[in-house]
Amino acid sequence: MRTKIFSRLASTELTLICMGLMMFLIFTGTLAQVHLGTYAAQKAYFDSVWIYAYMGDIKVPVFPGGYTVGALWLVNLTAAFVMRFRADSKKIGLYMSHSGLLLLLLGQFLTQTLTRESQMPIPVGETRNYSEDFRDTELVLIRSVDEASEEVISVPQSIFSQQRTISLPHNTLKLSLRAYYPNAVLAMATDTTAASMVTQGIGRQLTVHSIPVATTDDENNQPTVYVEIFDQGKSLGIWLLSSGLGAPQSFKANGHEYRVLIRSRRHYLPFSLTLKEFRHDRYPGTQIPKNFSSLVTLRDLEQGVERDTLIYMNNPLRYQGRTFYQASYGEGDQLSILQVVQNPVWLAPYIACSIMALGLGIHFIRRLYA
Amino acid sequence: MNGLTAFIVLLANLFIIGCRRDAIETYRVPKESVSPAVPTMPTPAGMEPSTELKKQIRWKTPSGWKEQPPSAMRVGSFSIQNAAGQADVSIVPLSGDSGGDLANINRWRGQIQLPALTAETLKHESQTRVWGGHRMLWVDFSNADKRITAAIYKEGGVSWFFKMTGDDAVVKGAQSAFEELLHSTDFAGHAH
Repeated sequence: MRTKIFSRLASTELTLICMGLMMFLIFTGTLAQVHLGTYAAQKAYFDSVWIYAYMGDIKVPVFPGGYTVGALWLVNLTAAFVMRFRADSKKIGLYMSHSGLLLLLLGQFLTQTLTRESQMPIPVGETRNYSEDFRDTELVLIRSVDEASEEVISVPQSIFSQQRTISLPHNTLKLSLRAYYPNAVLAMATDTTAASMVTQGIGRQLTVHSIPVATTDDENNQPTVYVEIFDQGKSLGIWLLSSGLGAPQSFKANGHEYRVLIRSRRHYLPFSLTLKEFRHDRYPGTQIPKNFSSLVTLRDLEQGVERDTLIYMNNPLRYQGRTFYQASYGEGDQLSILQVVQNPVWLAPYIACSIMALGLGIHFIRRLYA
Repeated sequence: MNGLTAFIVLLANLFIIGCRRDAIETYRVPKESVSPAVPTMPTPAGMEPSTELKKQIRWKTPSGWKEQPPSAMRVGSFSIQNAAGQADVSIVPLSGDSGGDLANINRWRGQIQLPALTAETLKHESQTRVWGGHRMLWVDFSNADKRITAAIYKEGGVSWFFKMTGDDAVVKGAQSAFEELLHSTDFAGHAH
């Protein structure tokens, strides 16, 4: 029985089915980018276990997503490799090319799972030691610890969008989510607006209008929540928090002043970058861009590193497993936006392709002279 | 370890990696501030409003306003102080549309803890008015005891930002003087 299941998993038929499914996914996923945008289409078709369709209000899985097809294919190839592998020096080229393909698939899966892409907007003259997520947000509570540092409690959107009650670790504070809107616009309340449930902060003067979730690449959602904050079981009030509010709100609890807000999710770095100069050169007499570059000072106190680096097109800064690319700019050329990519397996496709090429080469030469 | 065991171990590892969950984190970070190394640094070439732009603009400073030395970004800078508190006025030229009116206005609103506007709501919250023959976008926002009054004028690929911010009573009281400043401003080098 066990052998039968294993040989099914290792069958060539399953390989062909997986290839067919993958081709269909790529075709439909590419077409879907037209109306969904790149990000949403990638999430729905490739970074998913199932592709869903709505029948009325019911979400129905209609086709296996990228994770399912990729995992099945990986299982199929691995099983085939394990089952058919016989130590034979004549087939070393084939074994190498198959191992390369396996590594390529595995590398892609790990890349999709482990890669973190974010942005670091730095105004000229300022220093940043964190990057910000494009879309993901966090609900943060910040309190001053001493003159130089502050403590941040970060609740990721994946938690505050799902859980009704959130206990904060090592803290007497507890959050109770009264309502959650994945995307909303805020407006000033008028005399005719229904009374808000908010009892604290700027939210008392605002109304919330839920709007559909943004899917295109140039739109951002404004996650918004009504949250009641408790300290040792005693309610401190209800706040309106939204990434659309530009500044934090504050409250006092157990002798500390806390600031609370929803902001783009931050990823802190063990080093900092200071933007010394941003250049947006144009061809003389035109507005056509010639060059974008950021001169940054990299400071890593732990490693004793302090050096200037110029980041420009095709010349990113690579440091401690992260790559900083020149991505965009703003505020009248006073702000440089760097794309930060952290991919611990970025070498996998290079190694996989090299192994495959070498394996095929060996096999070709061996057959030629056999 | 035989092949099948190795295969199962590999799948289990991938499953664990694929099922990583977000968690609430508590961490300590340095307080945010401008790097101490930077303020003494000269403004990089191309970042400072060009001398041409500085020469280009002229205005008549309203009485009672104390002129401040211009900084790297500001071609004009004033402070207003009276019994009701204080306010700061700035004139900043930036090339292009400098991120767009909406982004700049929402940034200002954030400074006084007001929520961001959409392009649609900005239409209701702003006015187009004319001073000294120049058509400008006028906004006026207040929250609690703070107020921002500002005007944006665009000409020849340059956006001119006139902004007055500070204590509500002071800014409100100085709005007619602010309008005088806008009326007196000439972008070709001669005050009205």
